Amino acid sequence: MSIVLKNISKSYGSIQVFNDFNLEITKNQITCILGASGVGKTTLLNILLGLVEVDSGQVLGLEGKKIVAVFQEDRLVESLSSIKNVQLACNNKVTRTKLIDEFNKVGLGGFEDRPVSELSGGMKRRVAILRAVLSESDVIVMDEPFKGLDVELKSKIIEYVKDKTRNKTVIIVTHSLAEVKELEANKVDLTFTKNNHSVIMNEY
Amino acid sequence: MNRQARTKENLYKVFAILFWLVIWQVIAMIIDREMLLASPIAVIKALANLLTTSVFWQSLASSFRKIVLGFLTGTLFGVFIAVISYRFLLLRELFEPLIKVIKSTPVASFIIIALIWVGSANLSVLISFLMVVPVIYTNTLRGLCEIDTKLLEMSHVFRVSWLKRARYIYIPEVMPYFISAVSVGLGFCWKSGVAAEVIGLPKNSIGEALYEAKIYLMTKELFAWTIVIILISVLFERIIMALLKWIQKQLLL
Repeated sequence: MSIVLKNISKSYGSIQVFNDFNLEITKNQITCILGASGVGKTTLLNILLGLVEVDSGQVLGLEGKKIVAVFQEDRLVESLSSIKNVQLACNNKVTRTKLIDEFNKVGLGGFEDRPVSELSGGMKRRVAILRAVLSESDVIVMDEPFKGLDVELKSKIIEYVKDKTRNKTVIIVTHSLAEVKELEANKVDLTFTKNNHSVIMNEY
Repeated sequence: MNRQARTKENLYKVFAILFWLVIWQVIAMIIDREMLLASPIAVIKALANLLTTSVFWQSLASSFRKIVLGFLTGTLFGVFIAVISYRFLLLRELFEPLIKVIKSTPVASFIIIALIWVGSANLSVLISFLMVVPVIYTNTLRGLCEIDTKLLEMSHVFRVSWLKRARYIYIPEVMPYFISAVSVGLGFCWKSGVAAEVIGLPKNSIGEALYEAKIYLMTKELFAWTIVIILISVLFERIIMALLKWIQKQLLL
């Protein structure tokens, strides 16, 4: 069953972000959400994560599902090592050897035991991605996950994410059409209406 | 800091201590009345004499046991009420005026009231307890309230178990606040605990020894006991701090 947002309305004080908003996200595929800043992309992800309550409407298809995230601001425990941050989200079945292997795949080999506070922005981003794709989940949402990565590294990480999320429902917020193409993802364009409500302009 | 800089710093510390000892000795020699100001040499001699008496060790052990008991129970209680206050706003509001009253009441008032309630024998336990609770409560609660809500949201999203949440998010974030509270609380405990004993005069206690030194004008013994109190409180604080820092390190492993 796909994820359906049905007649969603959400405002922050006098600012209405969504008014009777509808969207269907195909399951087991990658869907990218594009749109200008402030259009409500992060709010949309937070609604899916259950971190923001809608004023009215329904989110269907997530009942009993585990949904994890790559947040816009990493949200890593800075004092802990990078591997510990990943372990915190994974169950005990994922061994250290397996995790080290995954760290190597994203170019973080040798940085497993470094405290997150000592890593660069791009490294932290990769730790956040590892945490999301390696933890047990049905749905993964990612808020600009490839921000701060150079072109070469970005391609490598995109391939890694594609490989690790095969047959999972993945929703990615991005500003880059190139990323959508590389991810071979569905595309949802959010735009403002005259009344400043977010609507879908086109969906493929 | 490199080794050379550390050696230099240590040398400066030793120099500072020696400097003030010399000043003390010079002033004592100028005043030349042991009753008003005992010289460091006279104090060291008095201390050496004290160490040979069994009363000294009994008093030390008894006061130490009571003040530390007050400190430990106060710390545990302070953490407990901070945690439940963090969880339930109603309890936070309920404890707030009580903590404010304890904080602003003069220690002497507490000592006199406590003397009536619990008698002199366990007076220092109760006073140490009362002095440490507000410090631990306020700091622990502040640490809990300062925890990044975004991290808590993350742990909720990833369904991190409460045990892992406590170990890797709550405790490490609260620990710096807790450690500084313990350091301040320990100082309070010793000062107020001994003050309570001076007023309550429980048998075989540091307070009783200080009181006797005062009424018989035994200035050098008074100074010697003061040095003992300073040393024992610094030593105990060092041990507790080292233990807490070790725990802090272990939690992050």
